[in-house]
Amino acid sequence: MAAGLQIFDASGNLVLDGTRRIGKIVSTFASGVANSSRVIPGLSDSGTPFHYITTDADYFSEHIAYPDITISGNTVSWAFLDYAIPVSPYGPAPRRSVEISVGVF
Amino acid sequence: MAVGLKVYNDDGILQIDSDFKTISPTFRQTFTGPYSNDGNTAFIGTWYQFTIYIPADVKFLFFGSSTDRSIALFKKSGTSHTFRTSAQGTIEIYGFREAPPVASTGSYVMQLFNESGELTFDSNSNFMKISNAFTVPTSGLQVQSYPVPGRTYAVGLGVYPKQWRGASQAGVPWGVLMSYCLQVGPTAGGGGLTAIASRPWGSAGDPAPGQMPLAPAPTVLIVDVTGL
Repeated sequence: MAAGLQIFDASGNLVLDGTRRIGKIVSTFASGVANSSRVIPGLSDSGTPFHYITTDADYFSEHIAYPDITISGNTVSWAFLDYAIPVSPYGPAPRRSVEISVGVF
Repeated sequence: MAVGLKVYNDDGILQIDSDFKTISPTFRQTFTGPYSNDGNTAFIGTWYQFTIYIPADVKFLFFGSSTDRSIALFKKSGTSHTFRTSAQGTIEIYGFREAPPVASTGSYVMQLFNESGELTFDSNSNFMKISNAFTVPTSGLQVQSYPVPGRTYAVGLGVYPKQWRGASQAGVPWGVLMSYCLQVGPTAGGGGLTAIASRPWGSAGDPAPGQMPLAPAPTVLIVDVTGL
């Protein structure tokens, strides 16, 4: 690194410098079970935006409809991929509300 | 941010700022076994199963391994998580949760505060350092090399959507359970879609199960866990 900030710990170990990405989570929210979108201003920070789904639901998750997530500028959109379960118990796959975390790195 | 500090790395990418949102480590386990194996390898190869208990406050879960392996969540009940993995051996497990940074007590530290005077970044405080993020493929596995040699990395997937596919063996229909999984090893990490379980599906002459639509591919995160 020719120029820039370097941070060392008390032992002289380099903790952080300008050669690395450490990323950050900008926002985390529940998707609900409807297709929707929301604006996240922090996604305008320079870097590569990403999304990450988590859930604390119990599951053996064979027959669940998950949302497909896209990020365009500051807008995060999600749309569930609905389908009919082709085996027993049949019927529509239930949608699951998930936690959507978005950030940049 | 009306006032404060923003630090960009060599690529012009925002690295830290006064509004940094800290994700802190809250769980750490080295798993060495036991593993179980049901002996069934039809259509899936050999998989090993293990169950661990993960505290409910863990939101982000990551795995490190000195051996290249795939890992997929098989089932979950409360804090009990059962995973399937393609190799036995030691797995390093890291859990993170959303939490404000803890002020360190060392003599050498850089701290950032937001406009309300709240500590938002402490260079000596452990926090989740995201090195890479990408969407896994819907067929096969994709890995990317870790960015800095000598540092320790772990890989997380968040969710592990599944899909049943039909197959046939000796005239008997089988169902093959495909799962998104993460891939972790000593030098690279990623994920993809792979078969993790199978079972006979009725009797000879019965139809194989229809193929479920494939869920959207999840994002894999690679984090720097050096020192954790």
